[in-house]
Amino acid sequence: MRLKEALLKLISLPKLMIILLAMFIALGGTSCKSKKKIAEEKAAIELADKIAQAKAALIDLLRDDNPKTWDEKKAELDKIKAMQLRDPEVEDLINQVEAKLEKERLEILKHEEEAARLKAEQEAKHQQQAQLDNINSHFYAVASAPTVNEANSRIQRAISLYASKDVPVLIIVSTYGDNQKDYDRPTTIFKYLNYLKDIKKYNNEIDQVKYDDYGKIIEIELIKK
Amino acid sequence: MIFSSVGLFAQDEISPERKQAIDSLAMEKVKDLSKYISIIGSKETSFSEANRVIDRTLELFAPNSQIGVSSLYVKDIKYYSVRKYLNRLMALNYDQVNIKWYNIQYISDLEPQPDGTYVGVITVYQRFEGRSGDDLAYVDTTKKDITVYVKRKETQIGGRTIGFWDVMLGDIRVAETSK
Repeated sequence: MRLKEALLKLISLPKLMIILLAMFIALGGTSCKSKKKIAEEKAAIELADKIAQAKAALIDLLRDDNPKTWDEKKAELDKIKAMQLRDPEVEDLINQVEAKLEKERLEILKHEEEAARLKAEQEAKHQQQAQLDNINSHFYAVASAPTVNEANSRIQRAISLYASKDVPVLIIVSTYGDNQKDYDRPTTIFKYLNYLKDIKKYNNEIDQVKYDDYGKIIEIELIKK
Repeated sequence: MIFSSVGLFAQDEISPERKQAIDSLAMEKVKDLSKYISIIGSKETSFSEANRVIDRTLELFAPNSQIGVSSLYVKDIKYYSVRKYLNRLMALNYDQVNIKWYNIQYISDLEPQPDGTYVGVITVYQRFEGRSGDDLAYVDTTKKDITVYVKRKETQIGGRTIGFWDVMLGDIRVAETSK
């Protein structure tokens, strides 16, 4: 009885409350610490998972037979980089993929430049062929004129393509050795057009044409068919 | 254009392909002459056109070349300078003149001479028809032999040297005349 009273004296109600609160906090703290650990473990697992996925994706990007386009690969790489995984192996793979993509970009550029060059060449060739066809059409027109007057007006039209009536016309009769050429006696465009009018036949092909800065012909080389 | 001869001598053999090209070139010049003679002789050709073609025809011939003229009614063959022959041809006193050359072929192949010139003979048959009104006033067929000279020459065009074969026609001799 005395002990009970003494204990009650010693531990008053407020004190008891404080003790209980302390015990509660102490017990509750232990529980929070355990949850944090679990979360950390979970995050670590997720990170490891992300790293593994990133590695797999990067290795895939390094494959030569990867069917994705350059832009798709670049977008994938940027996505992985944005994850900032800070894993040395991932960073090494990122460097490799960047180098590979840069190499591919340069190759694509090279291909594009080559394609543009070929296209320009093709267009120039077509344009040149159109010019040659036009020159040839004048020769045929003169040779096939039904009357002398008509032939003369066609000659006047044809002459407008040339820098002067005295533009040299060279006619190749044969080639030999290292692209050496035998010519017929050189003539002038005016004489040659009149020759076509007289002979009524054009059976040469254009081998070369030289133009001045104004696009007028200053020399023409024909070759016998 | 200024042309200069090139020393291509007989020992400088040319390939059969090049020779073939020269043969064809010379033959073409004779065929061109055939066209020119037909144009000059035609009464449908204007005076100015005929004179222009005469000038072109003269360019085909070597200097001092002559052309023989025969007739069924005259025994002798007369030889005229090319210009005189062409002027006479243009002035023939017919209303209509038709001249046609055919069977044009080499009777003596082009052969290199010691100076490098190739010389050959091409024969042609000429059918001449002169009409007065609707009447065929004169007609004959003449076999003609044309001497052909081909020489290698050079000239400068646009700052570069061009080597060319200069074909020159020489005398045209009448071999036979028939009706």
